[in-house]
Amino acid sequence: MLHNVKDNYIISVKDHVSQFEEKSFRKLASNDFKSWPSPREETWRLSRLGFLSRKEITPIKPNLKKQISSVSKFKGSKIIRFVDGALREDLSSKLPQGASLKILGEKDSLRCFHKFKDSNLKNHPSTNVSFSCTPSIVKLTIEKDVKIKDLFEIIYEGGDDYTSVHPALYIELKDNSIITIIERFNHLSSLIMPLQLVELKKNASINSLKIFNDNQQSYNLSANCTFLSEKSNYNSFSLIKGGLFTRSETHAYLKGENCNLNLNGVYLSCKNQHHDLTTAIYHDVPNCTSKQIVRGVLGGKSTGVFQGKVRVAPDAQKTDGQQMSRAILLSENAIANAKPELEIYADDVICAHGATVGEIDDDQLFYLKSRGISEKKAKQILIRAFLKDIINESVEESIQNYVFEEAELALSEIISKEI
Amino acid sequence: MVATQETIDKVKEVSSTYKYGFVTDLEAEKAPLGLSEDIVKFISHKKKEPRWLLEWRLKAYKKWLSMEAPNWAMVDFPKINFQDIYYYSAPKTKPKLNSLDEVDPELLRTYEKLGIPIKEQEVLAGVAVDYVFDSVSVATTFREKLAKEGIIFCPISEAVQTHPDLVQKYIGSVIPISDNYYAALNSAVFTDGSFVYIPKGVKCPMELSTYFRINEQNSGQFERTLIIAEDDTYVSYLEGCTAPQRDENQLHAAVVELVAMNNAEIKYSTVQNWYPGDKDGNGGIYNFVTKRGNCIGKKSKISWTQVETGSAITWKYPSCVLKGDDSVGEFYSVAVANNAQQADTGTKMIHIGKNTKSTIISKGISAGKAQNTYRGQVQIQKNAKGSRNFTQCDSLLIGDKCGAHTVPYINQFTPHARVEHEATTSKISEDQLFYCLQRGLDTEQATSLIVNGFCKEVMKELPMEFAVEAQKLIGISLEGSVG
Repeated sequence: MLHNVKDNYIISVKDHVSQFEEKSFRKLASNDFKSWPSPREETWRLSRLGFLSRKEITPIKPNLKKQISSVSKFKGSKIIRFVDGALREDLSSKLPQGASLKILGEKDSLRCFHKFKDSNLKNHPSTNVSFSCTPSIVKLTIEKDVKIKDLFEIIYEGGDDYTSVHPALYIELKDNSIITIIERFNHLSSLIMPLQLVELKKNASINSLKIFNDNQQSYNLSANCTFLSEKSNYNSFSLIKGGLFTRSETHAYLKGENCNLNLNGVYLSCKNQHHDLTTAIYHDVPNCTSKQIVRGVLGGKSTGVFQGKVRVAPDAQKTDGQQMSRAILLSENAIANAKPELEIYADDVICAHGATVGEIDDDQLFYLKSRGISEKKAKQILIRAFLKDIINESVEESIQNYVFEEAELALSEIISKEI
Repeated sequence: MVATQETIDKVKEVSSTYKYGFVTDLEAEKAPLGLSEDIVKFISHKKKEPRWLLEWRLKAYKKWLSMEAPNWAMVDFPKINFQDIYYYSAPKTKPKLNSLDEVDPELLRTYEKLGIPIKEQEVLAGVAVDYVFDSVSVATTFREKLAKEGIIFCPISEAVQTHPDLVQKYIGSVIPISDNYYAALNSAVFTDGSFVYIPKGVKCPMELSTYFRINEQNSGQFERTLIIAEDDTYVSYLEGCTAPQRDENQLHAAVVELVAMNNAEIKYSTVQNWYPGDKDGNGGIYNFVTKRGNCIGKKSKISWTQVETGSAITWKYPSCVLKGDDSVGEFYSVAVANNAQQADTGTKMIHIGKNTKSTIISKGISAGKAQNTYRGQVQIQKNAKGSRNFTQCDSLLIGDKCGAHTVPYINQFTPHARVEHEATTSKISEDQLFYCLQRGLDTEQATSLIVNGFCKEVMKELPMEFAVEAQKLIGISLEGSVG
């Protein structure tokens, strides 16, 4: 850790929690925030935060009267809205039966805090800062055997320049429940540190889609900690396109047998954006499968990072862990980094990973050109196909078009500059 | 199949675990225990080194004092007490040797036990060998024949005297003293090693080879190898290592630097069989080695092939810096870790020049309680247009207590290049095993056969005489890991 005593943000976080008791989870969390991770720390080597310590940022004081005019993209979806990091029930929909929202008290918040602290996200800056500064931890519960048909749309917005926002959401799916959630990050803050804890009980199933589309000058350091019980399913897809610096870090703990995890993602980067998709999958028990497909398209002076780790514990036999990352560089000044990592302590497993980085495939390009398509057009077709492929595989049919449209917005900008 | 049969025979023949575990009773001249500026001066003085080299050593020593031991590797061992090591230990031989007959007969017997033909009449072996015993090079064979071609092959301490300009120019040019903790230590206290210089246009007519052995108790071996291949040359260099069986850990921190000019090719093969420690992880060699090749010239090529079966801990990343346009880097590795061994090994390919190509094939085998990690980096820099990398690393697990890990890094700074990485981890398939058992092999034989098949891609890169030895070694290393 870098000990930067002059770091103003550390001081403002301490100020923010000064009114709370010593035993409060906020105080405990803030005590652990001593510095930004140094680039010498392995997982932050490729995504450096040094810039943050020089910025004047303070944790936001949420304005609970702020009016927001953003609209839902889906007919009939249930909206949950966070403004300035605080839940705004007045701007959220009434939830269907079997689903409920609750603001956690001190005791439950502390429990939540310890779950993060017991995970490998314990030193993530968002863990310590957001537990210190979040307005409250919000819990979304889906009751046993409830299958939610409506789409849940969680919109995170608000924030101003020179502030940081700290939404914290705890999603619990009880036995046999099912839900689809779309989360959209549209903040204006300089620094965004969303926390998410997901617990899937037996046979529960979640389809999660995250779209990171914050303000062009924002830093988003999202931290997600997920626990899967027996036979549960976590199907997640992240689309990273916004912000100056976005890092989505997910740690998934497979704790029950026969559970299944998909952690797919796409990053679309241009100008001087820095996009980072970091995942860690812990196979702690036998007979689970996990699959990761990550693709990136990079233009301008952007940087893309994929760091994926699959850890198979000594007794987690019959594990199937697959990981594949591909990045296409469209510009001379773009940089792609990949670090797919396997850590395996059990012998009866099938684990594989692959990673490629390069430009658009010459053979494919030639094939299209030989059929009379211009080079420009051919490149566009290939890039779109590159993304459509993974989107179709990762998200439910009903929202595929929406995801593609969202991707297209960023993609057309990259294409117009680079091709 | 013949070689496999040999493997099986060998496994039977060697009922004890480590064949090279004997100690040779030789009088040795040692420096006082521990490390200090005086020891560095002592070593330099013993070697009658020129002023610049002493200063270079002292600079390295100061740098080393300011550095911290790296802890990022996936290996676990107690902190090394650098004051409890002898940094200089030389067999007490007559001041100058005129011929091999004058080498201490005890020493010759040691090499016989090791199965190395030290006698020059054993020309048939066709290998020129430099023997490094503890820290000092004791004999180099075939020098005259090589000298006719203009090739210099001698201990580096001798090269310092006879070709100081070459040594001064290239030493530390590939691996600077500040490169890493163990390289800095080596630069300060290195005692000997091999020096090879291939003049322009010469294809080295035979394989060059070095045999390293740590004999003294508590002694560290810090050898330094420097190979320079001028324009249009070819050289193949082999390196083998053994050490006696001892209860305490011994340190081996070597530095190997290769320089390849235009159109030069260096092939560097290693069979590393340092004492791995006993079943419970007592004793064994800590093998912390820095190896790097610099492809300076156009169309140059450096190829690393390694078979790593020994050492309690291996920490080793033979790398290539591909500076010249169209240069080629290759890395073929088999790393076997059994019992309590830990290996963290891999490579770095740094593509700087245009159209540079690199291939990485790594096969890791873990058995017993061993941990085996592949760690590699492929970096394509901005001007390395048209570069290409292919990486494949496969791990094989034998038993449910061992671990296999893969940590590749890919950093690409230009769109006009292609990097591919693939890795798999699996155990020996039941089907393969069943197939062999059905044909009358027992489990151990079958495993040995399958493992040798798994490594075949790498083995075929080894020079013939090494390939046979390597196959045997793998069989022996895995002994007792199945059934």
